[in-house]
Amino acid sequence: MLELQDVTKTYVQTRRRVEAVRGISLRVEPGEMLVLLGASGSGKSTLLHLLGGLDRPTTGRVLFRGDDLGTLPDDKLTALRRERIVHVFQFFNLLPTLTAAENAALPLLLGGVPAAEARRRADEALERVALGGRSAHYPEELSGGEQQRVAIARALTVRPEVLLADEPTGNLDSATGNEVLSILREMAGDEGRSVVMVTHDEAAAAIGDRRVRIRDGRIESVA
Amino acid sequence: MTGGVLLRALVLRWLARPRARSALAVVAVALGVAAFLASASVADTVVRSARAHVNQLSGGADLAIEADETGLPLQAAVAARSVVGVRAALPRVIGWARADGLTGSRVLVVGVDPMAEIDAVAESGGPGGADLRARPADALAFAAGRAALVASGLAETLELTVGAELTLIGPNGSLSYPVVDIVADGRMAKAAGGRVVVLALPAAQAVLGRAGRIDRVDIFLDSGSTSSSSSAPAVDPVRVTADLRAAVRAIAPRNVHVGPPRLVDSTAEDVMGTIDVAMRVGAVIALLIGVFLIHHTVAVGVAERRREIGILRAMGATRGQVLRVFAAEASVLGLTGGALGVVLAYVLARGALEGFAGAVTSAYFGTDPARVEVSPALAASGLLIGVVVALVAAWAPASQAARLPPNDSIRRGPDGSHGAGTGAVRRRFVAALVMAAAGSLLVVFPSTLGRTTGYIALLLLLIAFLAASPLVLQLAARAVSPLLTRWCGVPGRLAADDLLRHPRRAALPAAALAFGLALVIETSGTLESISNETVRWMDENVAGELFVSSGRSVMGGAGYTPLMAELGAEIARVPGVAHVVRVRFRRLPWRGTRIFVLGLDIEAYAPVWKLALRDGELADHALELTSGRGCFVSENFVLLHGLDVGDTVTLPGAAGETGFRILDVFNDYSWPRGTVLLDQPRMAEMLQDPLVDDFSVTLVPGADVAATSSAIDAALGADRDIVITSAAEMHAQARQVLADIFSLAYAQVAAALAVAFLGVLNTLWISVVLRRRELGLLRSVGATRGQIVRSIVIEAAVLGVVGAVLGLIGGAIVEWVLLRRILPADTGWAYPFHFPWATAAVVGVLAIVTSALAGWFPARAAARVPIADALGHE
Repeated sequence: MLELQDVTKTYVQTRRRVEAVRGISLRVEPGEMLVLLGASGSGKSTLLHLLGGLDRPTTGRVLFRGDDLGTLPDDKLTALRRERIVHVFQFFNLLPTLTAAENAALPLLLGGVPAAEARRRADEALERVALGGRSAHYPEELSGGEQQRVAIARALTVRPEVLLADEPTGNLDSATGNEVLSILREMAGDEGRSVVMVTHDEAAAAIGDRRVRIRDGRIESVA
Repeated sequence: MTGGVLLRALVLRWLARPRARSALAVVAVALGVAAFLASASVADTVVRSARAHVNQLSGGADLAIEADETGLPLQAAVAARSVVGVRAALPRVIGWARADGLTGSRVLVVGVDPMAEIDAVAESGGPGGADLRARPADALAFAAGRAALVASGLAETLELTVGAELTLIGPNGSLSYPVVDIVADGRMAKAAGGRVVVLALPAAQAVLGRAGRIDRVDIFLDSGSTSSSSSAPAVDPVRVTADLRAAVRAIAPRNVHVGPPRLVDSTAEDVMGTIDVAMRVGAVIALLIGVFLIHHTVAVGVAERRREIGILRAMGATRGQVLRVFAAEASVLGLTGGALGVVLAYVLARGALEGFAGAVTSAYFGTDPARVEVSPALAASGLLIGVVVALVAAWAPASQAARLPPNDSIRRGPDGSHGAGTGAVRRRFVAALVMAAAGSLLVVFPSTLGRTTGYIALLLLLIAFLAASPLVLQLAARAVSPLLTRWCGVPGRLAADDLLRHPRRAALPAAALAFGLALVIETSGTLESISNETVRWMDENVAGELFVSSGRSVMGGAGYTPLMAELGAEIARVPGVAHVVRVRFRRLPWRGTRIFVLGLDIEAYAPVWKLALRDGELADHALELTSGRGCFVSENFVLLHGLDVGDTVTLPGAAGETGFRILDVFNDYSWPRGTVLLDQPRMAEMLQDPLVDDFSVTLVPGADVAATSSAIDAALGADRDIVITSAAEMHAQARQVLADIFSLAYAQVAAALAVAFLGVLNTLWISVVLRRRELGLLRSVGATRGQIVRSIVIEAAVLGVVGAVLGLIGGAIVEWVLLRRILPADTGWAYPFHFPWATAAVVGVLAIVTSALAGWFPARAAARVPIADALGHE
């Protein structure tokens, strides 16, 4: 479904080259929940960005259902991000001027889905993350856990094939984090959806079907 | 030491980075400073020109006997020589004539007494600085009025060499003189841009049609007695001045001036004051826009460097140190902008400003302009202005930086909001209302604070406008948000949201645009109002289809030569001519300023009289006018000097002061200090002045204007330097003079608009930089680059619309206050208000398009930033 083939990513900073990813090959299976584990700076977030088409590899290929994300034109890549591979971030990344429902509906609205249909699907998604009663609230009126659930709802409204979550519990207390993890666990496999989650928390990693440990830009182990 | 570390940590590296916004802020200050210096240098030049006209020709005389335009008898010089302490008394005749072969400008003809000059000014070599002592034949020819000395500038232009023939054309015909010397040095050679011809007195009087009259006597005191010298004077200039007055009293007109030459034009500043202040209003607006930009640049800099500030504060940096560091940054920006502004002002002075200074000098002082220069003192003030403006602008954000709590700054990092909350926006709006109310009160009661009331009102209204703009923008964004969402989808909604979230940040470009547009509207509207009203007034009040003058049209400014009144009889004999009115106008010193004294030949004028009187008809007063007992005064004279019908105006005459009872009041736009209308023959007697400036000719019904013009030209002789101007040409010239006078205002408008555009670009760029993460997020959830670009462009266009609306309203208010409050207080003229609809439509659309374009550039850049980078941007 989603595959990395000998991928490298090098950043050139002012006085040095940083090899964030060094020749990684990895395959994400349909319905699988894959966890990328590693210390800070190990390259796991870069890997997630490459998987989601937020960044392009320096060498190697990122394939999604046969399409090379590295060579895909921008408009196709944008559509892919909007409809098929979606992200959930550590800092939620909600727009402060939109309500929970509007934030959740945003990808649909950007894709030209009629407002009423987008709103209906957003409400459904918010119900799924147990936020049905908070749809008219603005992000600043929600707790951290609720904001993360809105971010997940935003991902769900488009019914993506792949959900990429970057430290989704990193900014939450443990109880709220567990709630978010169980929602993500539910998402994996639903309609054949794959979930890839980045974390440095060993306990959180336990919910994954597979755990890939990254160190210095390379795969250290797969369990 | 600590300061150096802080400076390096917070400012120098920061400034060293190639940041477009720092550059834009510097350019904005530069334009503001340049506009300010341009105004100051032009005002300085005009006043200098008015003085230099006298000073350059005085050859460094200690004192002068001057009779304004009335003229003196030659005996005044003889009488002056008898005064103890006078080393030399040199008579001079000065006037304009046409030189054969020279097109487009006149030459200044200076008549001197050659023998007196050679004797008295031995150190300068002789007349006009020429040394003819070694050439007795040439000296003799010159002294006899048969030869000319030519300034090197004119000789170069006409390619004249010694021995060549120079033909001068004056009101009485043309006269030719061989050139006996070309003078390169001396003040006289540098007067009038080097276009000077020196003749012996009789020759100059013949060329200029001034038989028996001289214009001035330059007095040189005994050695060491120079009035300005620091050495101990051999004679007391004050005593000599008194003795000179006594000596010439019997033979010269009573209104002669005796004293240092430069004092003659001490009234220049008074007359110039109005124009000067009006010009500086534009410059101040341009500078204000620069203030916004510096403020914004530093404010955003503070927001982005919160973390660094927090770290430094945590390490022990004091608030004062942080404040000083940001003040230093502003100073660097201000100094750089100021220096650039000085350079720009030099360039402007060498180019665009010459025409403006020329028009003002010609129109108001009847002389040619000096070269526009930015003096070292002015340049230094430009640098100072740059720094002060930057410090004022940076004060608030720098204080904010100093007050930041260290822990909070470190934790939160960069602050992308840089905006006031709703409370602050509302507080500002209340302040704006208070200032607007105060400004409006001053508009309603215009005499509360004297002549400055209008300016203070204007300043208050402008600041009120600025302070109110964030709330206005918020309201506008709220109002258009549903429409934008409906028409433009998500990008429209996001654009409106951003405006609502950051009203202060967004209000800045809107305010900058509004100020630029306000300046355009004010300038254009004022020019149109004044121009239309002047032409209407000329149509309705100035009689005559043709105007006959010498050298140049009287509307064309300096360079025309007065004519002998007798010429009118010759014109009257030309077929097709019905009436010939003699017109003489003089700018006479009166109560510390100069008033315009207009002489019209009432007897000839009565049948064609068009001048609208306030209370009665000409027939009611004709007798008193022609008997020399009464006068009419202009409305602005009444307003400015507090005299009205029944009061007496006492004017300085050749034989002493003469009182004229005010008979009625008329509307007049000739002179900003008021006009007194007299019967021309009575005026000629009073001033012992037989000359006229022009003849106003009315044709018999059905006579062809062009044919009659040709007939007059033929009748007066082709070798006379006669210019015949039709009424239509006169109107066109009046418009042109006004347009020239407004040219600086337009230059300022261009500068203000450029600064406003930079402001919009700068602010939107900053806005995009601060929203990088948000834009990255949008891209990550599937927004296309096009949607991102559209969102920012829509936001910019909304800013443009708000700026345009505010600018058009503000411009109308400024124009109204200027026309109905400031100008009346300064000049007594209350022009009707005219809103420049066509200009408003053009600049309004231009502002919106420009703003949208200014958004497009940063939007494109933002849309291209890699999403991962944008999301990681902290």
